[in-house]
Amino acid sequence: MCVEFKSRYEVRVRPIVSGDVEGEVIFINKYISFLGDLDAERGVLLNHGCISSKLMIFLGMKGSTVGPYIIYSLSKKSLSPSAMIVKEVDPLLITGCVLSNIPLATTDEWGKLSSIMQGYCSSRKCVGKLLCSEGLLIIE
Amino acid sequence: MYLTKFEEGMLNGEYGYARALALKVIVRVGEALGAQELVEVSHAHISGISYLNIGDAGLEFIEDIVNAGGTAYVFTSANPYMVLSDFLGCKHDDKVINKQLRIVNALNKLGVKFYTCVPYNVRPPRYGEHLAWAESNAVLYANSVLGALSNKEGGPLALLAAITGRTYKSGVHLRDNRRPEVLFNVKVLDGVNLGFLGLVIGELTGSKIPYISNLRFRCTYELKQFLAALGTTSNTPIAIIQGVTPDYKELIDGVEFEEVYDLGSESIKSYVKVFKENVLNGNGLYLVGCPHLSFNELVGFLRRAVGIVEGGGSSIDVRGRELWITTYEGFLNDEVIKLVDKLSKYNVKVVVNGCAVVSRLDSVKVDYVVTDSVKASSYISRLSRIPTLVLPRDDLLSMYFLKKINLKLM
Repeated sequence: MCVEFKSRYEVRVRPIVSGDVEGEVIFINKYISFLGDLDAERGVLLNHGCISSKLMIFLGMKGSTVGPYIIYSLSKKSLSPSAMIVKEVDPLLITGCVLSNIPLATTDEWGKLSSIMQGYCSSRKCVGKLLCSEGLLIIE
Repeated sequence: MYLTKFEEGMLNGEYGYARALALKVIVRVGEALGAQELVEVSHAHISGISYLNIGDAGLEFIEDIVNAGGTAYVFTSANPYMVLSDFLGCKHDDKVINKQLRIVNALNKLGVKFYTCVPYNVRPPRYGEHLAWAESNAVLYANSVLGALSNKEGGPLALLAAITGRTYKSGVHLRDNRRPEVLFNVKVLDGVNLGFLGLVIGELTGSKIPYISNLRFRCTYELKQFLAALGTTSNTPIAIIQGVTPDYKELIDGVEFEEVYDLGSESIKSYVKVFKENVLNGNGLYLVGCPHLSFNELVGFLRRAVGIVEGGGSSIDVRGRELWITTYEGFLNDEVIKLVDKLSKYNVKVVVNGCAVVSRLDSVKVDYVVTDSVKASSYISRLSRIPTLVLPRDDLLSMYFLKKINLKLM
């Protein structure tokens, strides 16, 4: 009988919009334009699938200033990610997350986080716990 | 971040849910940018109000925040929105127009006093006044020409500043951050449209603050055009201009420029060529008023147009062409209305509170655009994918009414 080896990783984060949440993680190794890259009616990101209720880990937001409105609209339809963890924060992303009450954090350990996501989590569904109160993201 | 007792109260909901939410956004953004405190603003100017840009998501947000009790706490104006009138009989879809009107209704309820991209021509801020403005040409004009202090507020931030009367104190709200970094020495520019120079300087300076020396503006119209174009290729909220920026001497004192550019007519020739080569066929929109005309510009332009019509006789021909003059509705006095009446049968429209750039000109079947504005040309060719030609205002009028054009003046 084969027992799957399970790991637990911890990454330090800096909370921008606080909140503690748990959920499946989705990793997108690029900057996202919420206008254009996203089907806001279904909460589906082009080429990456559903982002609803997931801990969304990505480089940051780019492009249109309409981004905050899209995030707000997603959250009203209960289609928004449950949290966002980014390499770079920018005013528009913060605006969208505060308006929609979505926890948002950034990390100085992006290299570590992205290698976990591209290594351990690349072949299995991982669950993330964002604990803004402790400045920690736990991935299992 | 340090907050006053009043601001603490607002954040805790003592002045309603909408103000608390708005202030929370401003505080979080400010903290992320390293701001130590907030700053009181006297005038907020909102951009991003065209339904064609912000769509249902933007409409929904603006209506929600107003329904949640969001009203202006300080003097508030907003950018113009999509043009609601027709172009040679062709209109935007009624559903789109209705949604645009819903945005305007919500903003009226919020307390927006007027809709124009030149708030500085309607309520000019004083030197040293702190603002939360979001329109790039207006921010550049306020900082660089009037010595007021405003960052370029992104997305909904100016709207949130309107509701709270606050923005975060960082960027050019701090005097030390207003000093220039890149020097532009401008050599003789004979007859060149300064809008093109604005594009070039904007591109070279990027997000750094430019110091522009040896550039003479013959009138504020040229200055407006120059700054508007600069704002299309650069993120800088301020350009320090010798002889124009009120405190330019103090701001350049002791600055050692790391980058220095010498610019002459040669430097901008390649830009002019791009616009010249476009072929103009079909129905043409002639556009003046990007940025919106001031009252004096409006009267002057209408008088010149009437002069051409009255002297032109049978050679006047405007088939397949329409002229839009975009401006602020408060500038329509009796004289202006009389002048417009004389021009109305020549497909001339004074479009108030509207902006061609944030309209979808391809949807109303515009085939090409002729404008005096480098900013308009630059955006329209990208957003509506329509060929554009930039001409000086007087040449634009001759071409519109008489189909005459003096290409040497380009």
